[in-house]
Amino acid sequence: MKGGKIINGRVIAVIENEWAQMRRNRVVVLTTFAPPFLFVGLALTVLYISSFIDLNPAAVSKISGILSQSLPSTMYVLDRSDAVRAALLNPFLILFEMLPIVVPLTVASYSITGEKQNRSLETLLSTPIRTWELLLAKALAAAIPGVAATWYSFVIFLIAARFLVTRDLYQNLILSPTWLIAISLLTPIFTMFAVSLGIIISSRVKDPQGAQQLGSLIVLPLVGIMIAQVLGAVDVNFSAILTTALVVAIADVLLLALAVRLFRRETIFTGWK
Amino acid sequence: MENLVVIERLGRRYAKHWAVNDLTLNIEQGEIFGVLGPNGAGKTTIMRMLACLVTPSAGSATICGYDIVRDPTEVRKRIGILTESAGLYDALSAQENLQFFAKLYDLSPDQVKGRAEYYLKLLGLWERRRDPASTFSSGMKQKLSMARSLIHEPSVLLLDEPTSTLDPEGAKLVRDFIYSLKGQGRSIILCTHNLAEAQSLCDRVGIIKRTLLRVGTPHQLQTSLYGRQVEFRLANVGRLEGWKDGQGEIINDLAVAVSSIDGVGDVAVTGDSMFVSMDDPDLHTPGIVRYLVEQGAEIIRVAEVEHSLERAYLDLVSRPAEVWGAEGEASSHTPHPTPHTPTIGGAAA
Repeated sequence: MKGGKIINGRVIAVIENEWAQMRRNRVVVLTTFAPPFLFVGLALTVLYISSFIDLNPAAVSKISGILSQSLPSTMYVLDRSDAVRAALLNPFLILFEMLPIVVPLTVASYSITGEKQNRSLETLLSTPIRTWELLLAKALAAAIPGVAATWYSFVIFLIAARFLVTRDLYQNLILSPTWLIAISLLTPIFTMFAVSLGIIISSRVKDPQGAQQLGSLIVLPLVGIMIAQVLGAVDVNFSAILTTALVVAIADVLLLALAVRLFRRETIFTGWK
Repeated sequence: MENLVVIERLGRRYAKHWAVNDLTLNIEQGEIFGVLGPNGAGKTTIMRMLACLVTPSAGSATICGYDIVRDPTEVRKRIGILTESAGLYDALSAQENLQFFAKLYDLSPDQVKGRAEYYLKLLGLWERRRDPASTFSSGMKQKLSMARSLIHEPSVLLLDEPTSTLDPEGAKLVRDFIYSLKGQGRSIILCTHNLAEAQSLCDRVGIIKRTLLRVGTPHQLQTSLYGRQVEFRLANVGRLEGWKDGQGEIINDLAVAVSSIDGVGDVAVTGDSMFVSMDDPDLHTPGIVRYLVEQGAEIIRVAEVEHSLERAYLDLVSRPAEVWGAEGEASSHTPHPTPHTPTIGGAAA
């Protein structure tokens, strides 16, 4: 990419501009920052209620089997209570992955169509900003708040969960490399993937409604993974997460490059009404 | 003066339809150039091509020496654009809007702050700098947008219908500001429907209908279309010795006589007045006055007729383009008779 640093003054200016507008939109602020905390509340509530549930030995054995696949280093034998909690907690990892995707995706889907609707796109594109700078800035502006909110809420979850689960479960599930790598690495990578797709949709669809409807379809594969994991069809283990992170990170770069190639200034001006 | 904008045979086609075709034009440094044309004439397409938003299908154009196709980023650094809509972020304050655009032009933090303050004060918006743009009237928004387009001190300013959505007061504010930009060394291209605006602001005007129909100063356009005419109003046309009796007939006969004087073109008669077309009124008017006085005429008014740009514009855009050719410099065009008055054929000027 020509023009020096990737995160240059123009990219930062667009990010600041996006955030300044977001701050003034209470709905966007609320929908970005409230869901992570709601999920944390839900996870903690589930943990608390789970202490009242009793399972038969066969169910415990099955849960242990599933967990031993996701946590290969963990050879401990779960007691009944921990088995229930582990079974209930594990899908929350996928939910934490979905959190920063849904709202940033909506923001990203609106990013270009919104400029067009606001009639600011023509003036923006007549400045020296390059297409890749604009799209990168829009993607980062949409992704960063969602990722930050997820990390923030996960820290709260870590602190609160310590008081609701046994030390064994806490150290071997919640603090496991699988969970930590997933939250710290997969979250931003998945989010960038989703917002890049959202931006492509936004620059190809003529109106915000269409962009948001198409954008919502991006979440469906993740929902599918979550259901598959709950059913035991997919193992969300450490090596799977690292492999996924690598593949999706490469896909992020390719998607952003594709977004730049697909961005047609002329079509936006001449084809959109 | 250096030509900051050089356009050569520029064209843009949408499917089979040419929105702009074969446009050739140079615009000098410091010049305010008006682009006049009806809806669909291609004015906005020209602006978008010059702003590197739309790629030409034919021809070329340079701004400050940079090609609009090969060096779009360099071109964009040197232009400011103001469109019909303000193009501002409603949720942001006036100051934030200006500072955002200033940063896109890589200005230093001090310049960002200083220029935003300068233009907000210049345009009388400083007191409301912290108010969201959404709370501004359309006139104030357009002024703010004007400041946005100037924040990086562009060499060329593209103004596309800057006053068309404004009330008369707002339009005057914007026009006054455009006028105040004269003499600052930057070229301004002003697309407008408003002929009075073009007449009062522009050094030269181009009349566009897909292609350039005519270009020249407003005065040149008026005079080239209709020729220069001088009105001679007579007090005693019915009582001239040696001429037949009866008002109307005498002045018509007199007009025929005047039309045979060297340098005189067509002569039209309306009431007590003769409208005499000529190339050079300063040269020929005294001779005509002398002749009329010798015939016993009492002359109560001698004045050159001012034709409005509006009339010239309406006449031009209502004719097929091929009548005028691809491009015409106003000064090279053969004068036409005034269309609204009866004329008497005279000696060719």
